[in-house]
Amino acid sequence: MANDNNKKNTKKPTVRKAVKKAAKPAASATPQGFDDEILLSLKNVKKRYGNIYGVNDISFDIEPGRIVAILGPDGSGKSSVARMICGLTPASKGEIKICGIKPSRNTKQYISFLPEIPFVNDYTKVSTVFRRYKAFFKDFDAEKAEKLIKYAGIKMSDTFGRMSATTMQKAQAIFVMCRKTRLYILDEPMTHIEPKARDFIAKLILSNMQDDSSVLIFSRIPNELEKIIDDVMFIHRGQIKLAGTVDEVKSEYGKEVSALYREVYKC
Amino acid sequence: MLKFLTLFIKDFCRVFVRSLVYVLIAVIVSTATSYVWSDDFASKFPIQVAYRLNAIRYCSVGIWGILVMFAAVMVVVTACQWFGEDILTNRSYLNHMLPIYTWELVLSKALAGLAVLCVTALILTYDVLRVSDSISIVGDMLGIIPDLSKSDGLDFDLTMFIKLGVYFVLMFCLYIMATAFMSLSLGQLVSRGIGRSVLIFIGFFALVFISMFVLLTVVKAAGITLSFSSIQSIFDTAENTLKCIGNTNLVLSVLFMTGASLILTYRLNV
Repeated sequence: MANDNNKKNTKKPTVRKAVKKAAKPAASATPQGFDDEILLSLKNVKKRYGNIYGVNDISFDIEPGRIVAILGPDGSGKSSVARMICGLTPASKGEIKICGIKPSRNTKQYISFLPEIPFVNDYTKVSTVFRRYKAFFKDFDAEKAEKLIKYAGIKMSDTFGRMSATTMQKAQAIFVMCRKTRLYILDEPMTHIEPKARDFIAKLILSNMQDDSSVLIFSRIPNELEKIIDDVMFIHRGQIKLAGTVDEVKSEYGKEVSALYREVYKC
Repeated sequence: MLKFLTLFIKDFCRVFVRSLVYVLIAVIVSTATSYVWSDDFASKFPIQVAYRLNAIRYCSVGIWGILVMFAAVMVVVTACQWFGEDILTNRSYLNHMLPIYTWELVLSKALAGLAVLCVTALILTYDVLRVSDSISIVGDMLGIIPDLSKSDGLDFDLTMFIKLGVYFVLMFCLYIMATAFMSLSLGQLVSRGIGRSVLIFIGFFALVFISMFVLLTVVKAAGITLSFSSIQSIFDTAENTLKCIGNTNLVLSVLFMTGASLILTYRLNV
């Protein structure tokens, strides 16, 4: 994807720890012995599909209190990384740790996941998902979710199949962000929706994120994200090609993240 | 435990609502059948065309019987369909993100299917008893067995035999569900496409073939051989065979559901 000039301009990928030190955790429970320094850790993670590596040797750490964007075009391995972190598909090689433990049933309480595609069937009602969140997730703020659903103009009796892509994404984002958990994984939260709704989701992320939690956003559209993210990583063919804070990237390359993205990926 | 119960109730409601239409059809047809067998309906046919009345009556009983079996089959199919939709499709991410074990997801679906099957059996049994008074052929069939066994001096407990029969049918249905779950989970071993469908298809029949071999081995090991020397010995053999196959089906179901859980835990590829 990146041509020779871009390769020259782009420094060797540096996988780094997030810089800012987050505030000390307040409410969310964490496993015993977990030092709260690193919320999510990936070490030499690979995911193989037949003879092809969808994810090829990815390593990074995420500290609490950060909003991190992993940007890349289709087929770059973003969703595979998201699914591996969530424990929805196992890594072929390497180690993933969330709050110090490997992806399992126990890590699901620390992760709130918004997939790219709808996470329920078309005939499922909003009220059904609401009840399911309330029943299964202790950290779900039902009152807040109810208010936000009303605010977004969504009815509890609405079925997901009859909603527009924007409304569906809003509803799902409300459920995901109304959990008071440690790690929010959002896969393409702003891709298939109207620009106005992108602001809604950006505000939703900022207002619902806890001090001791982090948000990991996987996207192929960096424009709207740039305003809210602290760190950015560029992923290409399953490898991290660039990583840093937004300010570092801006000062190093003299460009906005979205401009650099367009230049690197020619889009 | 509470989370598992919540999941089970949700699955039960979904499978029940989807299966209800088949049960309702069976109940409506049974009501129609009981009317067909009533004197009121018979009075509409002159004696010269009595054969038509009989043809309609026996056809209606036949259709009703088929629909009862169809309802049972559809409950199993619906449970398997629900398993696929709720666990194996792209739209199942929410279920996989729930803080529960994979085996709980699988077990919940199997128990929900079994529970709906039990409820269906209860409704249909009540329906049979309700209409047996009006449909003489059904009443006769139900009453003839104890009369026969009494008159022949046979040591034959009809209630026990019905219980055993119900147990056998339920375990058989559970086994079919578990086999389907296991073969659908086997499909997760390959990526999407025709290969997955082929693996599911071959997997199902391979599992059935293995099960047949296991069943025959167990029956042989239990020393059960069909004896046609007397009616009493046929009943005795049938009793032992039903128990033996029912128990083996239960064990196989648990094994297949464990296999499905393990595959989904280590190789989920929705």
